[in-house]
Amino acid sequence: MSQSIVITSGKGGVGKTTTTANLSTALANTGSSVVAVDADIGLRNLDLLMGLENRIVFNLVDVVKGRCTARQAMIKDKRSPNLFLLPTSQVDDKNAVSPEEMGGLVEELRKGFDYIIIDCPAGIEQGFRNAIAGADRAVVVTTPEVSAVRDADRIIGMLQHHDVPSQLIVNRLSMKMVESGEMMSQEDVVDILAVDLLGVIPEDSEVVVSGNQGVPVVLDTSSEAGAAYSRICRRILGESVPFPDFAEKRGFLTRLFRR
Amino acid sequence: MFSIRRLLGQRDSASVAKNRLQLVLSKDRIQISDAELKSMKEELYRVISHYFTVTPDNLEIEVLTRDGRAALSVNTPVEFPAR
Repeated sequence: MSQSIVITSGKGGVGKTTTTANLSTALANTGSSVVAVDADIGLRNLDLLMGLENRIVFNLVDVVKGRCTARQAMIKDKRSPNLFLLPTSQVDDKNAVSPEEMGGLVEELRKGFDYIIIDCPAGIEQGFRNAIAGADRAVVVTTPEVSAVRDADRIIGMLQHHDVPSQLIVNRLSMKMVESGEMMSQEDVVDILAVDLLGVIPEDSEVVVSGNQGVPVVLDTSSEAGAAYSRICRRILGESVPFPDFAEKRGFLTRLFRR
Repeated sequence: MFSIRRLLGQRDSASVAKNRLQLVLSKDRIQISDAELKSMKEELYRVISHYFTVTPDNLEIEVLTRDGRAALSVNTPVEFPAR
């Protein structure tokens, strides 16, 4: 049984594309066949984060318009033989495809893949409606900031309206700031949004480094963010993985003073 | 952790954020325009004032959500009229 998951957020810049690249990579590394679909038409980026930007020939709009087959447009990942990218068009806009066409594309991809991970554009317009059209479930990404949480609430409401169940990822959590009372904790965010928590990604400069290199951070298991994405991947696969206390990694003196 | 704001007796910005969000989301979730909300408030005020003494400024309208269900909550202090 194949599963389609849309990665969405409402607000831009909170980590949708990073999450898509990492979860697709992690799922593929467990042996599942995965296609990462860039639905952010006109603002192509998933290819960059996966390090596949130089291999694009055809794109999602070409497939939908019948100018090529899905197989021709998909790019095989450099590292994982089970992972494919369906890149988007950089020259078209969101209205180039309809929700019906996107739904049809996802149905076609189901025949060849265990997981279809869809990178949704920011916003609540046609791009959003396109991206959720074929999705069985949604992963809503937010950061612990007021603007991102407000937009996540709007998106969760719209997903409910479309009968797409959603789970939450709280991205870029700084435990240091949470402890000093200057950042909402994951509990605060979950409390406000009243949604099921799928995972927490700690603030980690390695995410920027991995983006620079086009190598998803989940491949670096020694990084905190990479380990967090691995845990989320296992939760998607149905495992019950405990939520670690990120504070534990702090120094002995800091902990002593907090007592 | 050490916090200058806490020492100065100010509230942590995290709890300020949480409170502000809860307030703004209770309005967002109603999913009607500011103008419609205003006129709904006025109509509710008219209806309630037939039975109780109320002040329009004290009328609070919000949508509470729990377990995916939403409830409209209208809250106002009332004074019982002298009979």
